[in-house]
Amino acid sequence: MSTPETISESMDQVRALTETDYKYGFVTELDQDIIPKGLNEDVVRLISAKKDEPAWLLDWRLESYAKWLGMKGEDPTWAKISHPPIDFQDIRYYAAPKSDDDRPKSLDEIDPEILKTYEKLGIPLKEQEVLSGVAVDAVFDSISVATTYKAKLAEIGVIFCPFSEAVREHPELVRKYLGAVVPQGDNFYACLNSAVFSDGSFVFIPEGVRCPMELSTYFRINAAETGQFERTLIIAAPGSYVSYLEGCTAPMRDENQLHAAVVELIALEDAEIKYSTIQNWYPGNAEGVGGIYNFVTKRGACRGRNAKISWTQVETGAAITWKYPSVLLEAEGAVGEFYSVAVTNNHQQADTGTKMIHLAPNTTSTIISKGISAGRSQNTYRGLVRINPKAHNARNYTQCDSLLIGENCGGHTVPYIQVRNRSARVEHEASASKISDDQMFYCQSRGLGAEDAVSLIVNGFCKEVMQKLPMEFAVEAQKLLGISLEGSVG
Amino acid sequence: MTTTTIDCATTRDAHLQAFGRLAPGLPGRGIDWLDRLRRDAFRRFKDAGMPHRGLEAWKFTGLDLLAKHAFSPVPEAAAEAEAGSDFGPGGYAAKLVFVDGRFHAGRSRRSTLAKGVTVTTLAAALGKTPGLIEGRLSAVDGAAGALWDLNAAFMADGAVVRLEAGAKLDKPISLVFLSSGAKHGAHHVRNLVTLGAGAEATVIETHGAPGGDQAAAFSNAVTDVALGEGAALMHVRVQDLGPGAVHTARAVVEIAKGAHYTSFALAMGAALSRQETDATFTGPNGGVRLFGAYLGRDRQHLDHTTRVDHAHPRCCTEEFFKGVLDDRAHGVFQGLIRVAPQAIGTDARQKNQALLLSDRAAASTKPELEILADDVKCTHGATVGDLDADELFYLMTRGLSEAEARRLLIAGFIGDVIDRFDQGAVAQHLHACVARWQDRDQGGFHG
Repeated sequence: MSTPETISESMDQVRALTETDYKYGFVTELDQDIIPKGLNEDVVRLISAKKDEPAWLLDWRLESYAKWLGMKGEDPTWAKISHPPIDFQDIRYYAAPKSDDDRPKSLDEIDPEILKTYEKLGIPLKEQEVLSGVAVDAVFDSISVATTYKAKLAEIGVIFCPFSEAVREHPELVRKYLGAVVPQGDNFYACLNSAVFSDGSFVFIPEGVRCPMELSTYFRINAAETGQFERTLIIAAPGSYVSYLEGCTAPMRDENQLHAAVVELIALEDAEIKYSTIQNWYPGNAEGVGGIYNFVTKRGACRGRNAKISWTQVETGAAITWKYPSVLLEAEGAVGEFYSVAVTNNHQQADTGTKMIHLAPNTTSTIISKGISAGRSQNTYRGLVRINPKAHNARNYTQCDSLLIGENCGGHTVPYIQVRNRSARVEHEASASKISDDQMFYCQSRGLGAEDAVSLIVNGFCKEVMQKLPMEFAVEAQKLLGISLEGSVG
Repeated sequence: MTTTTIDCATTRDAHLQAFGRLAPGLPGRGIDWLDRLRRDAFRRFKDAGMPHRGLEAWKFTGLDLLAKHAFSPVPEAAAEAEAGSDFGPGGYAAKLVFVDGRFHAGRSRRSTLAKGVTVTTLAAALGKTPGLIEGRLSAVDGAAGALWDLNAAFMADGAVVRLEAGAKLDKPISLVFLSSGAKHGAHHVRNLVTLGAGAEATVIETHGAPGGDQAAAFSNAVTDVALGEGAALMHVRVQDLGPGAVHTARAVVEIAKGAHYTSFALAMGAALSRQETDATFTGPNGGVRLFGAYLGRDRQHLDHTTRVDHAHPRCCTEEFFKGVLDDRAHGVFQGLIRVAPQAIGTDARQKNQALLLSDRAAASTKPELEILADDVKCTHGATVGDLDADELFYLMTRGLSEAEARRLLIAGFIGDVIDRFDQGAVAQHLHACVARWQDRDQGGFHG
């Protein structure tokens, strides 16, 4: 005769069995490196399982997925971009990193067009190999370089590692801050990212530490191939400073068309985060075929007094860019900055800008945006400055300039300004113009070719922003501007 | 006074129910193209519903008041409008007064007008010479324009001003639109202003309530303007309705080669007001100058929305709007300048400045440029802030009280935009309106 105890025991067994069975249902697929296209709860579980994630993170992903399902059909349509509807069931949401066997064996196997661009940018041969995914030989061991850097950073307590590693090594930090700035249901693409994010970077700067080197996701330290749903989290403890570089000037090819990344920055009291991006994803060919859709949510929160977050971006790539790096100025004296150069050529479309949300007294923000459109491209600045009632003496200065090259492109400015405090001072200026014939004539009479002249003039137009880039990037970025506009004149 | 007896929850419902009942009585009934126009507009309105904040063009302005109360179309003109102050400017060439959206002959003045000038009403024109109206009533597309569809479906009257080629008026034509005491009445006027080649005129629209009437009414006006080659129109719109009123207005302007349109839109009354200007160049070398001011206090919501379409080469646009916002007022400025690929040599400037006088006042601004041509010069600027402390201090050291100093600075702030618009009698009239608004400061809203 079974006692109540034994009954409950066997119930537990049954539950355990059924649950395990369910688990096996997708574990069979686990052995494959590539999973079928499409998105469902099992895929989310699979991604989490592949990464050996703790239960709380799986729950977080599943919660995000449920929210995303609820947003069906709510993918944003307000931006000045156009593309055929995205079939989210036609996307592969997980692919294992490439093994060395799949990689090109040498630079001879790389598209000569890309090699030509590397040359123009002045990238050393060894770096070219890394960039184009050639299997790295023993001499140039990026892993060992990374190890040296990492040791140096660890000494002063800086954590800088892939996101998945942080989940394993520093779960308390990840758990505390993940989604703290960009909540799961923030917007359609951020929500999708929250469910299926692949990998990214995690940075923690301890109190009072000034990070001694520029942190970069580019091959210098971190693993490449973070996947199409990148997730980055940077936390600067009180009194700390960090400068972080994302991307690189070299053209980046990728088989995935949709990239939906999320970047969250948290600056505590007196901390400063400087986040620089150079985005040069494949923009599609000159006829507008192919190219990456770069739909990114980037947001920083100044959580402590006098915290500062500064975004600098040079956007030259991607077929479509949809991105608004923002700053929430939550504490008194916080500072937000946005410096942007967006270049579009051929059939590229960019709808980019920023949001500065002033929530506390004496907060200041500066926006300098330079948009350059050429070819048949469309380039839109879209920005919000909001001064909430409690933001006494808040100050904003915005300047956005558009430069148009050729008669088939578009340059648009869509600023939103909302002020709810009388003591605030908000100024906005915008202009649109073309490269004048006089400027061209002057340069050419000094012996410059048409393309060099355009490059010179454009670099002058963007100077205020380029100056904000870390030194090592600034030189490459200047060359990049010239290359991006090739074929736009003459 | 006739009031509707049907209970409706919202303004939309009230209009949907009233159309079948009122349509037979609207002017121009039986004219094929007009019946079709009304029917199509009504169907579009029925499908689209009222504009809402979800639409980009209505992001900052919600029509919650129209959903809260059922404003119903007023079926016929009030027998006699209450006596009140003489609205509108003096020294006019002609004055047409409309009460609840219908012509009021008793209060209108039409002396002999210069040769080639016709001033009549929409109802009269549809009765006698509908051919003059055909094809001249602007149409809209999209949900953002549902209010203008509503106007097309229900328009009962309005002014028709027509100047033949070369005709010139040296005094303004004054159009006055009054709301009678009918509570929650709605009226939809449609004005037509047509200037032939080289003609020149000034038209001043005044939307008010006699004696600062407290009755809440919904007035939804559309003015269609067509300027022939080289014509010049100065168009003033003063909105000084009672504190419960909802006012939406739209000027649709077509500017032919070398023509110039200069306008001033002043919003100082109503609980909710939205004045739109939609200007399109239909030939090269034209000019548009749009000026405006919004003076808000209490919980007023005042919106100026402009759109200028540069579809032809070498046209110029200058826009300058200023706002003063006190108490919990919310001021909105949205300006879109669109430059088509062929519109080379475009010169467009846009500027918006707002003063916030209270901690609970709010200003929203969206100056938008959409540029598809490269040989252009376009700029826009916007600033928001409080009165300058140094300026205030300076005036007070000269012996002015703080209240006097503030008053002077505000008058100067708004006066600046009026002076750039005009230096003559029209400007004097606008300065007087601003002074009247400032006077109300002492004794409540309409003291």
